[in-house]
Amino acid sequence: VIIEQLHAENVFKFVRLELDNLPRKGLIAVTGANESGKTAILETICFALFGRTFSLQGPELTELIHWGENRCSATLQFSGRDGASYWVTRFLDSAGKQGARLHRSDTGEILARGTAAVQESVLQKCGFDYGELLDSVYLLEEEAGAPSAPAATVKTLAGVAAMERVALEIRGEIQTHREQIGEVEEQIAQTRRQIQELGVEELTLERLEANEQELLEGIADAEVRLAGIEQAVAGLGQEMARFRQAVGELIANDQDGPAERWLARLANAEKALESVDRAALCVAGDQSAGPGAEIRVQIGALRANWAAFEDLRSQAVVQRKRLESLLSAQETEPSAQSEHEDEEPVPDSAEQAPGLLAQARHVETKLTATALRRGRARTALAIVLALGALAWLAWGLVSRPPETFAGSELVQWLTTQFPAVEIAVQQRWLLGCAILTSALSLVFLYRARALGSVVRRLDGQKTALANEIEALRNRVARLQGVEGLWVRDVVTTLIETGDEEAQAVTRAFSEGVGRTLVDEQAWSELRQTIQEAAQRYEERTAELRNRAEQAAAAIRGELTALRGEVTASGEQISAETERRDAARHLTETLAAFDGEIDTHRHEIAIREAALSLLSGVTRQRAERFSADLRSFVGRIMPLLTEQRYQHLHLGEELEVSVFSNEKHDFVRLSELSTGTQRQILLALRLALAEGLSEANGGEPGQCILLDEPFAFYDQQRLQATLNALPQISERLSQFWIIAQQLPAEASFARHVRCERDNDQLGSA
Amino acid sequence: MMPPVPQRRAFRLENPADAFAEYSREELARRADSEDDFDRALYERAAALVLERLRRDERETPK
Repeated sequence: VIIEQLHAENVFKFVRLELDNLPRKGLIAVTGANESGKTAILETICFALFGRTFSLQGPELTELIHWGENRCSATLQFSGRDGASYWVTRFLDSAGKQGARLHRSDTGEILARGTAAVQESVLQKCGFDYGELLDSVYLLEEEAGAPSAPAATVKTLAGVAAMERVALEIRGEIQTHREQIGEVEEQIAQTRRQIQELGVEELTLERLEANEQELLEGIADAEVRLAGIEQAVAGLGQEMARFRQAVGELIANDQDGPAERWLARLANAEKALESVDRAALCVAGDQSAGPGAEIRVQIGALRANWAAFEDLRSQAVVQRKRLESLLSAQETEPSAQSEHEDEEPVPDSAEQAPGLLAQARHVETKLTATALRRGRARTALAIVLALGALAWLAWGLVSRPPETFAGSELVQWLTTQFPAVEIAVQQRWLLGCAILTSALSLVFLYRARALGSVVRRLDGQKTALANEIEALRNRVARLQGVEGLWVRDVVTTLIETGDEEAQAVTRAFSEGVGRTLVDEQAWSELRQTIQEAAQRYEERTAELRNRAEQAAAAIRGELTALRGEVTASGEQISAETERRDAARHLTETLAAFDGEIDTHRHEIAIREAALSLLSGVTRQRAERFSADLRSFVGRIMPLLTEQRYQHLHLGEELEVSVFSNEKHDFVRLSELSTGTQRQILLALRLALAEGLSEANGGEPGQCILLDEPFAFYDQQRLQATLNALPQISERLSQFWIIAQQLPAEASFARHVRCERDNDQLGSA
Repeated sequence: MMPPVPQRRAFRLENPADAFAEYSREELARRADSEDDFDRALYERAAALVLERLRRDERETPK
């Protein structure tokens, strides 16, 4: 980029600024006193190209409008990297509204309108943006004069300044994290002291809780015992009342009731006695202390009486059932011999028969059958007698002489009927028939008489059986309901049954074990004995209850003491729990502190890794930067330093060192004089500008804007530099040099002189 | 024909964040291959942190 013309109105101190026909090569000197507008010229060039200046941009840009005016404009003609000439024009009003236009100088063709379009087009035509302008062809006055400029500038140019800033920020963060770790460690130490002051022992709470648990178990045990005693005492009272009632019923003088009622009373009394004994056992807690032995003996004796009576009554029932079985036993099948009525055995007694009713039915059946046979025998006898009579009559008629009418008629009939038989033969046949029928009549007569004898005997048996059955029925009827009879009724009934065995057993009962129940006096004595035994039993039970109530009172006292100890233990546990909770909270805090420290350490590790990466990329970029610039600097620096320094080296941190021909070694920039430092940095700057121009390609020719670059130069060094600049590079051709004054003998392609009081500057 | 504006200058780095991203990617890959105990997750977090800071610096630093 070569600046060819610059026109401006109302920019900075200039109402009008016109620099025409600027030389494309050589030095353009801009001199003048302070506030004469020298730097304003370079800033006007920046404004025209990029719409901003080094010091002004954004809303502040309106400050470049000349005092008292409300708008300004700047027009710059330049040749781009393609060798063509362009005009770029910018406008700005006091409201900050900016306009821009770019057009070709030769054709007047407008290439771009508006700030954004013009900015893009300028980048294309120039090959660099504002940032790159500052990094290369525009050496600011502040940069040239600042003592710290070299390293910072180099780093900025190398593009690692941002990384350095980030690294600085990260180092600060690491330091912050380390300080925070220190603070947390202090808090940890303080927390540990607090934990120690709490004096929590590991097993204290467990010991207290175990002790409390023992006390609670003791209370529970005592409560159970107390409840057991109270319940037992209450139960004993209830059971005793029940027993008292049961004994009262047992000794009641009402003997006319059924035996079942007395048995029920006995069972009730025994049950009540058992319940009282159980309750007493619960109260006394000792089997041996059971007070019911005596009454149990009495009731046991009574039970034995009733047991014997039960046996007796059972025998009565057995007797009744046996008699019932005699009445209702099954009918026996008639034996083969029973068909022979004469030999059939007839039972002598009811016990030998299968059943009296069956026997009666059997006898009845046989009696009926025998009578029927006797009837048939008699009928046969009558028939045979009639036939015999007829035979004897016929024989007599036939045997008499034939003169008789009857005989002659019969003979005639027989001759007619039996013509083949002679009459004499027929007479013998009739005689035979008469004799035969007479014999048969004798047989049937005997048969009828025999059957008649059997019928009479069976009839006698039938009558005897009927009587016996009636007697059994009477005995069974007497034994009916014996289960519900009172003892004496049962005894009487059994005696009256007539059964000898039953009578013997009954008498043994009445005179033996059952005498108490049968005999009135014995029964009264037994009731008296039972009543007295029950009274003594009740007295002993009352003693047991008293002792139990004393034991209950002792347990209540024990409970009161235990509950007091539990209360005290609970307070100790509460205090210990609070201490432990506080210690646990502090321990958790410690863990949180550890976590915080871990977090800080992790963050530090991340940042140290970040610094490692930043260091690596910085070193890499520095090496690349150094390599890129080495050839440029090696050619330019000797010209500016009168061949005293030729080689420049950039370290890992981009610190600049140069090879001193005098010292035959690399020396750090800080070891050199300020003037030499500026010379070397100027060489570096020019190298960058040449590199930029070369990188951009296109036509050679690049302007260099140097604002007060020689402030630290002596006259000899200044003169040498002014002489060398036009020769250092084919690509760097136009040098703008801003200075208050320059040597008079120096040769400039254009010398622009600014005056403090002049707000118009035109071409010479 | 005007040559295109180069994307990478010989004397000035491309965008620092991009440059760092490229470097860190290569560096992490290299160290992961060569170091058994290399904590890649840690370095990835570190790289992300630096990238975030560089982009913020780019936004906030005036040109």
